[in-house]
Amino acid sequence: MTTTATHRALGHRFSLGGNEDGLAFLERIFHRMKHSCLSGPTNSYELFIEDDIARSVIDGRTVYSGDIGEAASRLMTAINHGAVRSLHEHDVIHAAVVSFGGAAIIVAANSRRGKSTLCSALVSAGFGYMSDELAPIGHDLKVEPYAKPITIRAGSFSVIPHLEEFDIARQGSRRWILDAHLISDAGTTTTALPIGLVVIPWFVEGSDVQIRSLSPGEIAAALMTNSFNIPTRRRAGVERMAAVARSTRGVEIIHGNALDAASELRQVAEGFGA
Amino acid sequence: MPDEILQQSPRPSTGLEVIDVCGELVIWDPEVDRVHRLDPVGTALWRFLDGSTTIAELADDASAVWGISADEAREAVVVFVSSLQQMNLLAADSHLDRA
Repeated sequence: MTTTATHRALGHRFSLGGNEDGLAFLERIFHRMKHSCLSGPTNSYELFIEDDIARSVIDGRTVYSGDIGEAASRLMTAINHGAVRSLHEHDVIHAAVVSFGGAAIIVAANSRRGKSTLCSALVSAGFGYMSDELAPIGHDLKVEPYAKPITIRAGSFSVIPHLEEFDIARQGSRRWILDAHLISDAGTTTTALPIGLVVIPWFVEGSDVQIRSLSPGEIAAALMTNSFNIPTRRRAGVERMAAVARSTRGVEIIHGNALDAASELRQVAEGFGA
Repeated sequence: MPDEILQQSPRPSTGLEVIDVCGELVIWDPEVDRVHRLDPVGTALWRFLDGSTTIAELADDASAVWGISADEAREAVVVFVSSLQQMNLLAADSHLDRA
């Protein structure tokens, strides 16, 4: 077994390891998180691939055995949790984030609401990539980028078939793992940006795109509902979410196709000058 | 409308985090990690839920301010207070069913 140099997901430092095939796979996925730190990693994530069966190991404990894409996804989920835990002064929203015109667009939604699919469609439509999972909002109301690879479930493959070529997992598995940096000319945004727009997405099969403006109260409520850490931030988090809501615009978008939604949101962003 | 209900003086649960966002109150209930939003009408009513203002008094004010009949106002206020109670946003000792 071998391990690599330290990687970093926000403040979460970690090392990668596994057998030769497993480590090569992880390095391909996480190479943009490579980071040289003075202090050592706090957690280790390993992948062992043998005969097309993958085993995920976190800090020496096996957490999954089976499909390779799923195994990598388990590790990514654990890394995301580590990233959330590493932030003490930020409010962390469960959201995809893209950039446009120097501002961040937060697509706030919990799991299985098509967040990553819409995010990849937005990046494909020319938005810069910041995250498909976390929106850490600092005291200056700016969003830190967390440009992890985009994970797409099999159910969404047919919606964005043109993005398969950016699947860096290339295992034909139940998940694609997309390197967003390669999808758009806008690439990956690496600096914190002010929030220009908050989007609440709803996927409704067969629906045309419908967009409705949100009141500041609705924006604040949506951010709080999708906060990872409001139970620890408490009053400070409530006040920061309210401050964001007072200073930005928001829309709810109902759609049946992520590409159509991305096209409409581009027009919204251009109209807002986001 | 039973008089016992109209003489109730509901008040919010303790521990709620309440914030005004451009005229709408957003309430986070830390006990269950749930978020609620009141529209401007609900926000206006919420501000009088102080444990001393009765539902009858609140309905009288609502009737005068919104130009609706006393019966309509009482009905609207009771429905609003009941919805708050269902969301566990009222102190247990001021629940309507205690009347």
